[in-house]
Amino acid sequence: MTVPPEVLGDALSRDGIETLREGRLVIACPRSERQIKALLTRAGRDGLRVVPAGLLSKISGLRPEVMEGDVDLVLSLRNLSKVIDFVPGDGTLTAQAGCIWSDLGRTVRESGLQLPTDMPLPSRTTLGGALASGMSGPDRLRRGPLRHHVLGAHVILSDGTRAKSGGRLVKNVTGFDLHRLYTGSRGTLCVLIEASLRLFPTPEETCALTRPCADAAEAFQLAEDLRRRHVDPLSVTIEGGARDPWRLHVVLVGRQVELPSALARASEVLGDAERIEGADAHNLRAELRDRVCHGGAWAQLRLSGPPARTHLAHAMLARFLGNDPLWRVVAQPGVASLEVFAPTLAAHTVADQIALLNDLRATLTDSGHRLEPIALPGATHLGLAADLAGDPARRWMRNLQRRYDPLGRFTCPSYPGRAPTLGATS
Amino acid sequence: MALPYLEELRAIVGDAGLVTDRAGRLAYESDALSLEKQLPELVVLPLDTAQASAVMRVLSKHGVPIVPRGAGTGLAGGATPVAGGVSLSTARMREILEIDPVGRTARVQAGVVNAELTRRAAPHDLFYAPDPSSQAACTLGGNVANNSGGPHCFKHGATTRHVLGMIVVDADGEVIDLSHQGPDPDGFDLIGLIVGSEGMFGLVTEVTLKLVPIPDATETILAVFPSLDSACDTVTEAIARRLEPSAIEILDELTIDAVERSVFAAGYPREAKAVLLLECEGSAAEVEATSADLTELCQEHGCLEIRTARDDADRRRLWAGRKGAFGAMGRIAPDLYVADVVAPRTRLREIVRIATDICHERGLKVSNVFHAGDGNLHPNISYDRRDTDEVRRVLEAGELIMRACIERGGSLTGEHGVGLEKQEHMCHLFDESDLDAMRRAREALDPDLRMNPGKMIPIRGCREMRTPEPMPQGDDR
Ligand SMILES: Cc1cc2nc3c(=O)[nH]c(=O)nc-3n(C[C@H](O)[C@H](O)[C@H](O)COP(=O)(O)OP(=O)(O)OC[C@H]3O[C@@H](n4cnc5c(N)ncnc54)[C@H](O)[C@@H]3O)c2cc1C
Repeated sequence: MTVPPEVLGDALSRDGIETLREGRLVIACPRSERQIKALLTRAGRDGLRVVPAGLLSKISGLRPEVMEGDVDLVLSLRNLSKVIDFVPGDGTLTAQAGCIWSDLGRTVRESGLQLPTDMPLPSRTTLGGALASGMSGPDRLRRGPLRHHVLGAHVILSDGTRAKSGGRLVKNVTGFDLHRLYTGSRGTLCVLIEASLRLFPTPEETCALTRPCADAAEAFQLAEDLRRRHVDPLSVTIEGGARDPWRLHVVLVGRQVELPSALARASEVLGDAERIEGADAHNLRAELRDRVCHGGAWAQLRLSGPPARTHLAHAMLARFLGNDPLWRVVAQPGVASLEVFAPTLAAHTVADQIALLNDLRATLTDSGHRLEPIALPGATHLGLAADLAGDPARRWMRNLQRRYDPLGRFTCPSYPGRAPTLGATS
Repeated sequence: MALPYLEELRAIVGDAGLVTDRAGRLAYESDALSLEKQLPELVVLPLDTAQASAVMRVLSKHGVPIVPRGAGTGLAGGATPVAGGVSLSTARMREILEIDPVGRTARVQAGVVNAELTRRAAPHDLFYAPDPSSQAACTLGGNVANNSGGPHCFKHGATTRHVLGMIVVDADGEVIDLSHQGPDPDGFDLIGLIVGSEGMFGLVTEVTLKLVPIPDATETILAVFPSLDSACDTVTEAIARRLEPSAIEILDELTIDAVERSVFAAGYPREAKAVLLLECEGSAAEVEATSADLTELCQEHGCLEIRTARDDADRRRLWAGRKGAFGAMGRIAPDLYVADVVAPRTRLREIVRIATDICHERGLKVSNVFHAGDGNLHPNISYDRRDTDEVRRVLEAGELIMRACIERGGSLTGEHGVGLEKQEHMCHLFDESDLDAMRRAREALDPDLRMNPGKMIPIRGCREMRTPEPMPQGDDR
């Protein structure tokens, strides 16, 4: 059921809930758990489709243009922004979901600690949004993805019950790791209201090596050579495209005494690379972190697969997108991820996008790769997702969705490969 | 034995895949928590995913409960059979299917023994990092189900951080293939949910695991302390100073004595009240710097002596003592209750003391050997199960230790899991709505609740459990 936004907005304001509007979307910003529960009760009563969110900066499914028509109410957690518990001596942090990632970073920095990942666009990202989107920064190569460092969470389920899992401890196996299930669930299971993270010591030194490459193949080959030589960088990024030259960036961190040998080893592989140190190295690290968003726009596609075969995925991709004069890639070969900017693709009709991506996907699947649409219309996401509806893993996901949200109150147009028949038992 | 499904199963796995006779089944009646026993109706040993799936379809048709089983080294009763149920063992699923040295991954069957993977990865200069002390026996499937840890998980993280993909067979025999996961899951993080789920969602038949390069340099340090308190304080301070060795373990006086009198004798000084076993790994320069910091820290905390492993053999000996410690406890008493709790790392000394006092007040012998860097304590209580009063005191002490940890921000279990042992204690940590959220996951993936039923999640509601049971008539407590 679609309630006219102005009617819904007025009603929420009368209930004392701060409400914003973005186009036809109503964004409710509750200030308490009680208000969240009230919103969910209303959603249940009025049959509203709700999507929990932070600042609406992250995943494509939460971009206003994708959501319109598919979502009645955005439940933004931005007003729940307290740090609940920071224990420097234990290296843990517990905070409400609306805390801004960069603010949390500042909180822990004074104690020589840092958050578990270099989250892209940290000043536009909430803790809850980061977790729900399942995103991690390029430093995941060394540290692993964010989801590995979530120690516990408190959530509100669609029926208004509050539930916790895990805890605030760096080691703990008590009960199911539901916080792992919620991380990356893009708000389709529950509203994340609080989470605990493991922190890492801030490295003494950061430096980077960066060099141009003749083509993508050379860049991928160098990345693989680094891996074979067991160089252990914080991140490796390759970028380039139809109009941009190819470059390889390697960021190294560690103790002061340790870095020279790491640098020497990396330099042996990379040859004539430019060495960047001090504040410049920190700046480059931050720029690489934000590369997933190019010129203010998210990539259209993400490809992932076995790390050793990222170059193959890239080669196939190049064949498919070769006609796009604007296509561009940001790859993290060690973690097998390729962000693909293909603005011309976005200009195609939905039907053409689906046809092209289905072809591309069929080719990629053979080499063990997966294709995920990001900044493309919700209809494209759904068109592709329907193909996978029969997969037993999808069935498990749908069953989970049904048990956590029996009335289908939470929605994310693209996720998790929602079958058109959502609601029917399989 | 007249099991209506026996012949159907025989047709799938053959005689070699079945244990039907009582004597044979007795070997499966418990895991390493020998306080809980139940004879399985049958033990089935499939060879691969296809056989496991076919077996589980038959069991589904007959509505039979299934208990997955690896090597049975679990310490929480997770693999204890259930009445009327079948034990599904991975003992014949022992193949390492692939090692990819460039991708640094291994694809293994669930029954592969943990240490075997590291042995097979070594020629590629790689190893599998999670190293439970039971690694010579426990299976990787069991590690996945329990999200097992080990000394080197301080640096590398527990099992969950090393699982890249898996194949699971659900209670109805459906094969859920999660083996081609990229860096992020395709949809929900089912792998994150399954790791640590104690066999309650399905049988894991294959796992893809991350391998780690063998470091250039490794240094193992044994620091000898005049008290357990000072060893604990050293660890708390090491964490606060953000030092990053790869392992931080504590062994106390009683443990040292037991180890030194056993085949695992490692040359730990017998006069020590506690030792810290530390390991640093990385580049030579990094190892040297971290070792120097740790040495200085130990000295600041009154450490009596620092020894550094001279060579690889010496290093292996020091670790053999640590890893053999539980086995060595047999010298203290015939039975051992291995408590497994977690404390915030800022409160190690306090909680270790409380645990010791709880045991001493009950006349129990307690020794400590634990993953101190992660705050994962193992107060080990030695006892004799033939002494029923002693058993009662052991269980009482175990419960009080758990409660003390929880009251101080700790948790029920750091690596052994909840299983049967701690099921009733879940209500100390979680309330009914927390447990209900867990039940939802369970019901979504195993609606008939046939996978390892009666484990982990309390059967009775928390409110009911918190209401003290009326004293039985004539009870003189
Ligand atoms: C001496 C000793 C030392 C130990 N040291 C440590 C330690 O340092 N760290 C640590 O974490 N643990 C330790 N343990 C506990 C134990 O070894 C681990 O929990 C181990 O992972 C269990 O593996 P297993 O193969 O023996 O599994 P089992 O004991 O057979 O089963 C454990 C659980 O996993 C389930 N399971 C087993 N295989 C599968 C599968 N393929 N699919 C789905 N579910 C499955 C079972 O149902 C059960 O719930 C120790 C135990 C002993 C006896």
